[in-house]
Amino acid sequence: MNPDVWKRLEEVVDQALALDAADRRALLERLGAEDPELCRRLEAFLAAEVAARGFLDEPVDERAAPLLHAMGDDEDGGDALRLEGQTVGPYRVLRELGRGGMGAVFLAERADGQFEQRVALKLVRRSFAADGSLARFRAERQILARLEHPHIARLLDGGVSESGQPYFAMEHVEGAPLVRYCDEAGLSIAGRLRLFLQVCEAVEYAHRNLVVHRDLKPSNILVTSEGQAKLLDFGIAKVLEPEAGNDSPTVTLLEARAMTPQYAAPEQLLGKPVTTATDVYSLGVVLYELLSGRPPYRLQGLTPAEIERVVTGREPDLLSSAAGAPVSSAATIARARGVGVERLMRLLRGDLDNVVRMALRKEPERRYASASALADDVRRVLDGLPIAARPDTFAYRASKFVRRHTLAVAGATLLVISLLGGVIGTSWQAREALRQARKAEEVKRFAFGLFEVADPDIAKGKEISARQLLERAAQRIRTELSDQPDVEAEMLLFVGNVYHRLGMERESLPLFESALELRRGPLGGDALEVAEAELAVAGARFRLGELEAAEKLYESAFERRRRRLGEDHADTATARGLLGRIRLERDDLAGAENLLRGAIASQERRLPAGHADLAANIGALGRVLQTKGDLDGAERLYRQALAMRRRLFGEQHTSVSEGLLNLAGVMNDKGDVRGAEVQYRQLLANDRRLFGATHEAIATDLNNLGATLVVSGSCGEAKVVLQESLDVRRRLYGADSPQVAVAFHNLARALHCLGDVHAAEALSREALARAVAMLGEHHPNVDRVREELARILADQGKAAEAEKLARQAVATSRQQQPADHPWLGDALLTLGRVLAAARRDAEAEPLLQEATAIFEKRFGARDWRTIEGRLELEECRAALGRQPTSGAALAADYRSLVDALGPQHPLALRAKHAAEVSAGRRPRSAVSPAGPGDLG
Amino acid sequence: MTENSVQHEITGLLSALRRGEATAMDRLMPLVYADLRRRAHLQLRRMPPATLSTTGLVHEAYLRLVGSENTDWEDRNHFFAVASKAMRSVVVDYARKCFALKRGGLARPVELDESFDEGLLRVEENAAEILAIHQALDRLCEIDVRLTALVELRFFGGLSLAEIAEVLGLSETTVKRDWTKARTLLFGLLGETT
Repeated sequence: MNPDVWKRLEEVVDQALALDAADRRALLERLGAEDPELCRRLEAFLAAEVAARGFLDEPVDERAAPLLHAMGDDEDGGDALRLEGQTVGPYRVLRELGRGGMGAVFLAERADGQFEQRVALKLVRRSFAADGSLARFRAERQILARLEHPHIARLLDGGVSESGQPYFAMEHVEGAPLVRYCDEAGLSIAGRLRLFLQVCEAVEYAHRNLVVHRDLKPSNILVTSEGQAKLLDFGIAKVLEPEAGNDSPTVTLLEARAMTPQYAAPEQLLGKPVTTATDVYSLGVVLYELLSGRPPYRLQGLTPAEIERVVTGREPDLLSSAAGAPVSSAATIARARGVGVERLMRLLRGDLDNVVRMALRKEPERRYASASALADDVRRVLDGLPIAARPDTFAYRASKFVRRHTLAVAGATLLVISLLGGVIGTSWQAREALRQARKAEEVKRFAFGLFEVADPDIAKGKEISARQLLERAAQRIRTELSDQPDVEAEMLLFVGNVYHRLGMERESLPLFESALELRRGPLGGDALEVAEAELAVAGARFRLGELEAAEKLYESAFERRRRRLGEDHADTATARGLLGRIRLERDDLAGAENLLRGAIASQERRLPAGHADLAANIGALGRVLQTKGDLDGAERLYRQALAMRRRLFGEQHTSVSEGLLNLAGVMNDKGDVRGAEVQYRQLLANDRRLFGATHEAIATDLNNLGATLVVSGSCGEAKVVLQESLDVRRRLYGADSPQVAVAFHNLARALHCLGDVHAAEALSREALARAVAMLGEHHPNVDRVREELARILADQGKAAEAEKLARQAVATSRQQQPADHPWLGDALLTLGRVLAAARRDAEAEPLLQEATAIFEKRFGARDWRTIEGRLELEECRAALGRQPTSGAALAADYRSLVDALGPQHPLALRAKHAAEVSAGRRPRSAVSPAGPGDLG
Repeated sequence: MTENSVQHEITGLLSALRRGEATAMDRLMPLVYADLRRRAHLQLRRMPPATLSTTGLVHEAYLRLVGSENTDWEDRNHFFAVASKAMRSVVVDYARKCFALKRGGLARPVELDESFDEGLLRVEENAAEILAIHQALDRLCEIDVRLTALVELRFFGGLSLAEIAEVLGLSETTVKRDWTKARTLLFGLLGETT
């Protein structure tokens, strides 16, 4: 690309960039014809443009900062290269030994040949020395030089060179930094502790000489090849402090002072007085790292202000957990300590944990009083004696200085596995990040291992079923994880959940229960983990129909979460919703409503985009309202839930099906038959795609659709649909199962509607027998079947039996239902019809009146069921020779029926007839033109 | 030289630049460069982790050296162009130095300060990237000077597209389009770096 080419290209690029895709294509076509070369270049450019998006979006800071920082020293101290051979004070620099935050260290020797001794010459950054610290240093130097201890590297000399370069000369120690030494030597815990004791001794000695190190850290502790520890840089940190007042106020102390944040004590960061306790803290950090392999806080990438917050306020991770995570380095760490991972963690739990904690307390006065006190406890651990350190008490934790940092709480633990891909995703939030991370690693490792089948049969290409796999998994969990109860519990929940996803609830239950038992046990988890397990068991029990047991567990889980997380936490809301739903199933409507409203309020606030759980809660509240009779309210909620589910999952999803089912149900209840029919059709279509042909869901859908079709008068189609439902149920459950009863009943209705009364009667009798067997004599659903049979019999003139059945239904309904319940209305209507058919209109009239009144009260005057009642009444009164109702009223009824059910519906035709009779256009007849159509 | 006199000199040089004096740029660059380098360095005297903002430096330099009273857009334009170039020099210098040390055959010194360790790998990677961008930018300069200056302003100077529009006296749409072109070209040239 040269400038001229670019000039030409730029012109068309400018054009192209201003166009939309279609116009751009046109441009390219035109250009292709005129100047193919240019066109090619333009295409290449446009493609490159897409690839380059995001490039250089951020300025160079990100990349430059570490650079400038790394190389910044050179300005002050000059290149290390340039120093070789140079003299600094009385010393000649031999070579660079290392580079640190304060400056660089060189190997040097006396230039005047006076002593053979080689020294470690530390050249401090000019900036540190600029403001009078040298004067202080000279004063301190006396004291520091007097420190003579086998484990302290002596400070020999210090000063400023002619070129103004400040320096310290120290005893040159050949050795490796503490942590590296221990790792490379594979020192055991005991070995490390013994080394650590040397360090404590040194510090104690210095303290007795009134010198505080202030900058203890693993890199300041070298270990010689003879295994002797040597502390470096004693007291230097104090010397280098700038005078108070020179600092610009916006700079945090961390920036101004020479300290490494990871090892600095809280009081140092806050600028409070530094005491020997400060060194004790640093010793604690060193011990922590020595034992676990990492420092107590994660500070990478944090700003100085954030670091301050963490070190002064957050509790360090448990020593034992720190060692354990992540698993890969845990193995390394453990190996470096000569133990297995589990043993290491066990060793670190308990006493050492407490020792470290005590040393790391935020308040100086709560730590070990001295380095030797710390050393004493370490010795006790080595000797197996009880230690002095005590775990934190509740009061301590509650004290305001320690702001307990509670991380986000774990939500429901649902491990999702795709058996095909073997991919496992976890969807929880770490409560104690480290512990969960460790556990997660363990779990993942174990879980992957579970599905590696080492069975030779597999190698031969045989298949292993998912069921076998899971059984094996369950076994292995129990045997291999028995010494890690927390991981075992996690895995049990995991596999139990897989069973649940496969619909094998019975198999999931024992696993969940074991998990719960483990978590409740002494080695188990905290309240929230117990809650999680409780929910798992509760769910399984619920799905198995053990509602009472499930309810108790839901209650318990809810209480735990509420206590630990507060009223408004997302997980509390989840548990609240679940409890509400189970209360609904147990018919505690008031309780359910209360809980569900609470859960929904909380979730709506947090999840404006919606959520599956929220949708379920809304749906459940809808069911509450529906049961209470507020059908409009219920419909609104169902629609809301359904819309949310569709948004979340798309059309084909089981929860969308559930939503459709609810909505259709309430529409049915409201009398919107055709609306319900639409929903049921949609539902059936969805479920066919979700479940295939033979599944309980399909059978139910077919049944519901069929029943609705019967009501809406499409009895031919209803028959087909219901027959299919029956077939599916037979295939699923066998010919003699109780689930078949419902199918028989509805099919009987369809056949009745079609006029095939003999077949209808046979089926209906069968249905009744099974229903009674399943539900008992007095169940409302049994009455429904009875009523239908009564109607079928009445239409055949078998009045006596019909009447008997109908009266039975009325009696049961009067007993069980309130006086205005539609079921009672149905029973009364049936009896009235039966009597009217037997020409006992006088007896029928009051019953029909009562029925109509009930329907009117329940459904309103325009509802088709009310109108049906009115029609029956009208015909009855006609038979009794009474004055007909006004033609206008009847016409209105007719129109309502047409709206609700269509003009060809038998009920509508009856209404039409009645209206015409009343208007005088037709003669009265005792027989209504409609067939034996029963539509109740 | 005190700060005031530096400021004075720079203002003078900017006027000279405006008048078209060829040598003004040559004299301006080192001043700004030195100033920026010194400032960058001052920021770094603090303990790690250093939060350095090269773009902050440029803006700050503008305020300090040119001052907000001088709102002549041409001067501003020139200053930012110069400052961005200077910043580029500073950054690239460091990147080179870092590279030189790495290749310099010296045994890797023992790290005494562990918190320093983490940064080291990043430093090397970043240095390599910066040098690559720098070289690609040189090649871009042969193709289109204007777009090169735009990249300097944005990437090294840290000005936002809106600010650039203001400084250059162009519409934001134009600047956005120019940026797209610049970025695309540079990206392509980057791919050609060995």
